[in-house]
Amino acid sequence: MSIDGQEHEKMSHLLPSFVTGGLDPKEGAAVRRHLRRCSRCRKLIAEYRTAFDAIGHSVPLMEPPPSLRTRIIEELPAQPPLRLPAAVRFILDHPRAVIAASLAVLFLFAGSLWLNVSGISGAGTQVSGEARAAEDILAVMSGTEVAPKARAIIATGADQTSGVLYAFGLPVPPEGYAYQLWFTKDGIRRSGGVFRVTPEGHAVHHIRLAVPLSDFPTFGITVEPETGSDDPTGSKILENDDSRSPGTDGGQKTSGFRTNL
Amino acid sequence: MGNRTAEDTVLMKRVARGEKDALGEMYDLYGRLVYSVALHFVHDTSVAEEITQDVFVTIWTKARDYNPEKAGVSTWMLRITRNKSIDELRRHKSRRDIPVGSIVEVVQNTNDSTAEDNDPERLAVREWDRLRIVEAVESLPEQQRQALRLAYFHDLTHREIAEELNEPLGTVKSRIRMGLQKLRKMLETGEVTE
Repeated sequence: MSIDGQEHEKMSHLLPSFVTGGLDPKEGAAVRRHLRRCSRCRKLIAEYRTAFDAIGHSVPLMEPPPSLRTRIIEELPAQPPLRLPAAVRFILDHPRAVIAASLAVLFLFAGSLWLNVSGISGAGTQVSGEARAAEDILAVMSGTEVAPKARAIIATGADQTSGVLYAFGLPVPPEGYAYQLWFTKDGIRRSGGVFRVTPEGHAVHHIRLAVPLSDFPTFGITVEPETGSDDPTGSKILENDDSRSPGTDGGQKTSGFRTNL
Repeated sequence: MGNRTAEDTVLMKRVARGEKDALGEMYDLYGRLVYSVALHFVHDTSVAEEITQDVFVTIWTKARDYNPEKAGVSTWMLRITRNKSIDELRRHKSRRDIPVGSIVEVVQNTNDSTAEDNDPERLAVREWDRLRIVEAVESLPEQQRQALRLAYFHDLTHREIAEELNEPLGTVKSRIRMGLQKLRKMLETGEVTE
């Protein structure tokens, strides 16, 4: 729906009064309706709010008694437990059932991934699809103490520079935050991209790097601002089960995968 | 300003992870501001202390809900402080009736250093940012500044401000609108205009 220029003019004129609580209920409701549709006014109102907040920022600073800091820290209550969605709680309560179901999904998923990425179809390749898919599991990741029952796998495509992360059991991060995948080698980290989870805590994330994913012995997933970070700043949620030397254990990947699940 | 925002966001994440040291650092950075704003509202040091404690407990328990895209940490903190101070004023209406003239007459403490934070560069940058805001507010015409302060610190409606100042409602509305427009522009451009 387009916004009438006159309406915008009238409403933007009311924004300072809206921010300072000076509108009657009818005008306030009209401004709120307009704000839902007008991104220019939403930006403007954020600026007016910041300007109004400046009144508070401008007070002369007074020194509180030194004992206040100690009192605040000493009397802090326990932080509320992390709220997990019902689906994640189910996963945590029924890990065996979920792992079994995920294993089945994993084989189907990884099989189709390999076939898709390799771009090859036909009876000959289909026969070996599942077996080959298992060989292409690059890493199995387990949850850290922050989310102990979270699990993920990274499967690579035929070109080795692309892949897919499949994760489940992840807590939904706070608003404005997402998960970020990291590849590490010799202390140097490379971002594997930012991804979100479904309300059930599942995620499928496509990865593409300039170098083979298998070059990296270590993988991690942290909580970061949804715009992504240059380096990990948040809690590590998942890490790979084994820190292996790249390129030395072709067959071991599969056995590690089987052992861990 | 960008570095400060990033530092604050990292600090807030540590608070969200339950690190009490991080909340202590947050207090070292913003405790005086929170206390000073609360004191400006309630004019009672012991009540201002209670509000300050309440604000930091709220930050501690709500840190996971903080969204850096909606507001900077100091802005979020000040909004919590203002809301709690207004609640306090409403609970004890007599505090709200403090004469208008007294609201800006709080003695300024000359010790502007934060005892617990010994990073001079970090302090200087933050103090510079704060002084820029103070300068912008102080550059507003007195009548506009007075109307905005009444709205902010006394939570008065425009009509109540008009009655308090014995001015027509339209005049008060106009002062608030022009004052806020000017302030917004100054903070956006960084240029203080007389």
